[in-house]
Formats: sequence, structure tokens, C-alpha cells
Amino acid sequence: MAYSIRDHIESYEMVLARVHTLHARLRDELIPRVAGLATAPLGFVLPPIVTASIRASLQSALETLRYIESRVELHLWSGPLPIRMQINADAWTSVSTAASVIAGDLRWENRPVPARWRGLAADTYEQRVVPGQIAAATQLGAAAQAIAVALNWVAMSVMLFFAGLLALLAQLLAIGAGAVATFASGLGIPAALMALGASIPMIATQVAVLTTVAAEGHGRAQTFLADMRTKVLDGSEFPNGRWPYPEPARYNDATVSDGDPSDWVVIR
Amino acid sequence: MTQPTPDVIEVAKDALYREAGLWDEQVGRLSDCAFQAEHSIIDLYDVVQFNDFLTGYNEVTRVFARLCTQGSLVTRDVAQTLRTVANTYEETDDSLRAQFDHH
Repeated sequence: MAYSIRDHIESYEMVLARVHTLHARLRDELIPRVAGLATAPLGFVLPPIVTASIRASLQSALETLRYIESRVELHLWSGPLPIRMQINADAWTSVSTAASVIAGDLRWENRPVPARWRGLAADTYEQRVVPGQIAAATQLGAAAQAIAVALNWVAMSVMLFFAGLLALLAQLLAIGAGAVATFASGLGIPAALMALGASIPMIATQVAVLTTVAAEGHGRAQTFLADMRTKVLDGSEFPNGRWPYPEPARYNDATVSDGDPSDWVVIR
Repeated sequence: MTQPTPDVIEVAKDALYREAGLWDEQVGRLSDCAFQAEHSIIDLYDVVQFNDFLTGYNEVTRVFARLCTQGSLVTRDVAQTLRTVANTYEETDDSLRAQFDHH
């Protein structure tokens, strides 16, 4: 069965909803619990230096968690963007197809006039007017295709970013919840601190790497943008940024009463 | 030099009218493309990384829509010019026939 754009968008919406859920759990459950542990009295007696060290570790983990949470929240703003981009990319592909149909319909073999008319005006029409319009329609199709490719590419890169983010958040919450439970029980504090002190910063680094990859994706998007501009603003097909305008006076003379023969001559 | 026979002229005029109709179809298609492009503007999101891409995209989209609108007007002109040519030829043809019949 073909994997439609709707299936693709639905899959992404599920990923996005899950990221929202996990982000909320991070913000509303894990962070308050780690904050609680970092400030509440420890339920057991330890040398002050050890207590201070534990508190420092918890505080550091808390800051890292808050950093991750703020980054995720920031990125969630762009969550709906790829959906709109994919829908638009699909529309641009249709526009590109329509432009190709226009260019195809205007080809010599698909028009009735070339087989029936000759003469100065007919020649101008065939050699100057029609080719300019076909070239413009062809360029339009290429531009629409370039826009569709750019939108698809950017959408995919954002979607992949969120898929990666979802995996990291799931990992983070599992580690965090496990460590908090272990810590609160008072058993296995070193293991819990190891999880909070080492694993969480590692995930923070991975989130930062993911963000960097997304930033590189943005750089590539700029290249696509330049390509779109080049095609839409192509000066050879769209002189002065305008659709080529064939002056009707160059090929509209069918009169025989103006002193010269008609510029449209029937082929016998 | 002999004139083309009336049926040849009729077929030739019909070719002009049919070709004008072909251009009319492109008017519709280009108008649809313009409409589609105008509705493909993406409002700026409050996003970190893609606002300048979207700004550029929207600018290109507006230019595209404008070109399609111009294209639809130009193709309408072409269709109209072909009809004018066919009508002129028809009028001339009728006039010549009337003179011929009169004599």
C-alpha cells in the first residue's frame, strides 16, 4: 500500500504529541521532584562534605534538566511547521504538474494552427510568441518543483529532529525517574547520583548536537531558498521579473485592405 | 494564383478558434496556479531557526503568484488576438464572397 502524505503527517503528529507529553512530564514531574530532592533535608545522616557534594550534584542535574526543558519548549514552537510545509509541498507539486501540462499543450504538435497557417504574422506567432510562453510555463514548473523540494526537505529535517528529540526525552525520563526513586529510597545513592550526574548531562549534550544538526539543516534550507529564487526570478524567461508579453501588433494583422496582403496566409 | 477553396478557409479559421480555446484553457490553469500560490504563504511562526527561510519562501511565493497572474492575462490576450485574426479573416472572406456573388 502506498504511504500517503496523510499517513506521513499522522505519524508525525503522533511523534509530536508524544514529545509534548514527555516535555510536560519533564517540566511538571521530574524537575519538581529533583528540585525537591536538592532542597529537602536528606532522610539520613552523612558527613557534611558528602551532603554538600550530593546537593551540588543534584543542583547541577536540576540545572541540566531545566536547560533541556527550555530547549525542548523552544523547539516545540516549530512543531506544527513541517505539517504545513508538507501540505504546501504537495500543492506545489500539483502546480508544477499544471505548468508542465501548459507547456505540453502549447507544443507545436498539439496545436491546430501550425498545419493551417503561414505568412509573416503566423511565423512570428510560431517562432516568437509561442516559444516564449512555453519557456515561461516550463520555468514556472521548474520553480514550483524547486519550491516543493525545498519545503519537503525542510519539513523532513524538522520531523527527524523531533523523532530524535522524542527518543532522548523518553531516555531522559526513564533515567531521571529511576534515579529519583532510588535516591528517595536512600539505597544506591551513588548509582542514583551517577545517573543524575553523568547520564543527564550526556543527554543534554545529545540534545545540543541534535539542535546543531537542525541548524545545519537550516543552512541547507538557505541553499534551497537560493535555488527557488534563481528559478522564479530567471531573467531569461521572465524579463524584468515579468511574464513575457508578446505584442499583439506583431501577429494580429489579418486584414487585406491595408495595402499589403494578410500576414496570416492559409496553407492550401 | 488561385484562392484557397472555401472549405480550406473554413478549416483554417476553425483552427484559429480552436487554438484560441486552447489558450483559454491555459488562462484557467495559470489562474489556478496563482490562486494556489497565493494560498501557499506560510505565516511566520515564532520559531528559532526557520523564520528567515519562511520569509524568503513567502517572498518567492508572492513573486510566483504574480507571474502566474500576469501569465493568465497574457494568455488571455493571445487567445483574444487569435480570435480577432479569425474574425477579421471571416469578415474579409464574407466581404469577398459578397463581391463575387454580386458580380
